Amino acid sequence: MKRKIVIFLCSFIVIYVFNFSIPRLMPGDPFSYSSSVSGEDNITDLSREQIEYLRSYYGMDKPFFEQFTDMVSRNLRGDFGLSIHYKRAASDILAERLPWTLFIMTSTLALSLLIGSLLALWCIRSKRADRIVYGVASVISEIPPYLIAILLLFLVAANVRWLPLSGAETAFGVYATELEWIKDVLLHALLPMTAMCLVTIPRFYFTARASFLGIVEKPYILNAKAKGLRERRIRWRYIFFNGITPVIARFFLSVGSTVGGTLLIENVFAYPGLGTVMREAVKYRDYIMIQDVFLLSATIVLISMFLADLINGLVDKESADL
Amino acid sequence: MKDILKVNSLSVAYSDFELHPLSFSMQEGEILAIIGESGSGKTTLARAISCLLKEDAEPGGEVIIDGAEVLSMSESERRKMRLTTFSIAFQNSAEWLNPTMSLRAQLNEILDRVMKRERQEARMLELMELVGLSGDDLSRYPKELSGGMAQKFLLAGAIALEPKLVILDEPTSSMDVKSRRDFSELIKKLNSEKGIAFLIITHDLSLAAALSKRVIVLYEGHVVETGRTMQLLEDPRHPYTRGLINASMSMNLARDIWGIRAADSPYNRKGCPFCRRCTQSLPLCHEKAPSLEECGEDRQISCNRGGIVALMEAKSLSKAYGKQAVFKGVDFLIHYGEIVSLVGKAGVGKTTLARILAGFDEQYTGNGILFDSERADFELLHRTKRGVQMVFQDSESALNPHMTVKEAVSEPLLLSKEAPDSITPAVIKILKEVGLPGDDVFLRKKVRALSGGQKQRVSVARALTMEPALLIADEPTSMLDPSSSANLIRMLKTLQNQHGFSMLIITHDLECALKISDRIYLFTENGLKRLLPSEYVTANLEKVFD
Repeated sequence: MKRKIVIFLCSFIVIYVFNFSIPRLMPGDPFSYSSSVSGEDNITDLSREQIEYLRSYYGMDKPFFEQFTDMVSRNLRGDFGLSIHYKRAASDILAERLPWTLFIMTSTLALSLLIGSLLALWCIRSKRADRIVYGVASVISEIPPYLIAILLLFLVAANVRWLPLSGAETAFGVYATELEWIKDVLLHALLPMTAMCLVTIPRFYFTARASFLGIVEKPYILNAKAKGLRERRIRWRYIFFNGITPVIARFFLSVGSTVGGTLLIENVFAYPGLGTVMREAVKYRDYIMIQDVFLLSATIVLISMFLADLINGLVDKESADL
Repeated sequence: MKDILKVNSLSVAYSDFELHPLSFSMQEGEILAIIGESGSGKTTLARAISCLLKEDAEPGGEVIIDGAEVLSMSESERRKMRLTTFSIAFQNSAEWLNPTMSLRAQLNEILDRVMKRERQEARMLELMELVGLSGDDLSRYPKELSGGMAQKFLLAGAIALEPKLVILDEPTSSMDVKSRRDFSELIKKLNSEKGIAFLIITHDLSLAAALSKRVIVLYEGHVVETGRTMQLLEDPRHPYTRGLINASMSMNLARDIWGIRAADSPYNRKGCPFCRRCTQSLPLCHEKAPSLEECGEDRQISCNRGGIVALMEAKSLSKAYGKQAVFKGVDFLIHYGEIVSLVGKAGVGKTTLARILAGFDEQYTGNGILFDSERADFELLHRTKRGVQMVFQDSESALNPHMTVKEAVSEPLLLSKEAPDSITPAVIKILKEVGLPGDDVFLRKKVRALSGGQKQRVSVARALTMEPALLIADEPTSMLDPSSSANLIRMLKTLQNQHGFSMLIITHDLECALKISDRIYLFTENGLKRLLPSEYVTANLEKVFD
């Protein structure tokens, strides 16, 4: 356990260092980014003196190492800097955006876990259903979610009037009741979540399928049948209950890829989560913002992987005991 | 009495295994054992009867349990019969129990079918006590159980709803002697007190002997022999049954154990399933599968040759020198592939009898000697393969000391007019088999230059060149020191097990006879008397674990 914590702390430090250096190694800087953003209007041209002023204002004229130590001491004090692009405290912006991303992410994962494992449980009964579902899932899981998102946007949302095309809520919407707001939010989340789910459901399905198939072969399933238990009881108490642990571990392991997927999907649907912030931050070389967004998502991933590790450890311990 | 189980031409076909149509029935309250090696189809049979086969297996025929045909039933109908009419207890392993449920929950699950939760606790305690577990064990989880405890708990589950028939699949595998005895006692108790019929699937012959009234012997999915347990174990009629008994440690306390010789090719699926390992098989056996036929009361056997064949039979042999009788009225019988020992005091006429049976003495009275059901023509039997050969007590005088090893060993082959160029390789092969060097130097060595043990081996080699069907050895070890004697006995038994010939050993050495014989006869002036090892060899191994 101690070892695991140390490993995860080391990973965090490595990520932290990379996170600081990579934006600074990219070509361009926040004040002269004309080189890489093609086809978009550059903001005002700044004079050499203005740039010099801004560079020293943000501390970017200092040596690389000094910038790093500055950042560490500020971060330790809870100060995550001022966004160069948004001209506001980065932490405020993230606090506004994070709930949306978390909302999409966790509901996607929970929904996928539920649907994926139920699908797997259902397929165990019929070889034919299993073949079909397995085939379809194999194909779908290989398509990148943003592609599915674009297809959904064109094929579904464009043709259906009641489905919003973008955003998380109706702009300047006025809601009579909480319920109405919730309905609006859910409606907006429908397409991004569908796009995400289509890709993550197969992943949960595969994990659950492998786990359940392993359980089905266990002697105690045969004994359950010999005991004359009802099929429903065998399915839920024996197969589902005993086989679900790896699927739950999968939930936490999937956070990493789901964060990535969500950030891209948000851009397709102009969803006001971390994804759109990140895109803008990268576009405008907003070092501070880039760093903070990446740091936040990396931390989320690290924590969930740590949890997955814990759960898997419990599973291994359980099977080692047997 | 009513039949609790009736199996009519039950067959199961897997892609790589076939359970041949087999039929048997069991009365209410009976204990029947099905024995066989692993892979004989025992477990398939148990699963077929309890309708728990995998989906790819296709069962055929009928299984009638308590008057209802279960194979054609739907699982939902069968479910009502499970545990209440019949049940199965699997091998002793916690793997058969849901790892995430406590024993209490697992029993709840069963008892829920017949009673309310409030009344279950008392019943659970009763069950646990019955099988030898304690009430505290109810809160344990399967991984906290030992193999023996798991077995007991599985049995508790199987009898919880008091079915009329319980199938036990390898119940005692990996149990120690003590737990095995306790388990036998428990089954006997359940059988006599509750009238539960048990179908015991096992490879443990002593368990079958301790519990069952009748036995069915299964091999490669075929029934090869059935009969009353005691009769079948004391006088096996099928070569496979004999082999199983010979391989059972618990049935052979004094004797060395030997497995059945391995098959050299897979089963061709048309001949007798056992013919490749059988020591008495004919070409016919590879082509035609035998059918199960009645032979005697309550006895069935499936063998093209009608069971273990008598190789040599002699009736009322008497021998006298002038007026003085050496022995009289000796009846002798040796089967294919068995080792029989004649033990007796010195001077009782053992060697004389051996010489008569080997055809070296024709001065006797009696009904003559039959070899393979025909009057023995020893002139021919000595000079042809698959005949009779003898190893004499005194190899010193039995071998010409001036001959080379090669000459001595090849002499019988020369006399039988074997093609000359095949003789040397045959001699080298046989010398290696008896554990002697086959190189030129040794072949050219004079017999007189050999040690006692080597001479005895050369004598054996000489006899074996003729691939005899019957090898008679007169005091084969009497001239040897303990180590050479042990080596020679082991070698003889190994060769016998591989080649499958029959062997008659004449000896005064009871311990040696006990070690290797299938049957032992005590030789007295008045004939032969069978000695059953179980009557004078006992061991109290159970006490060790008490």
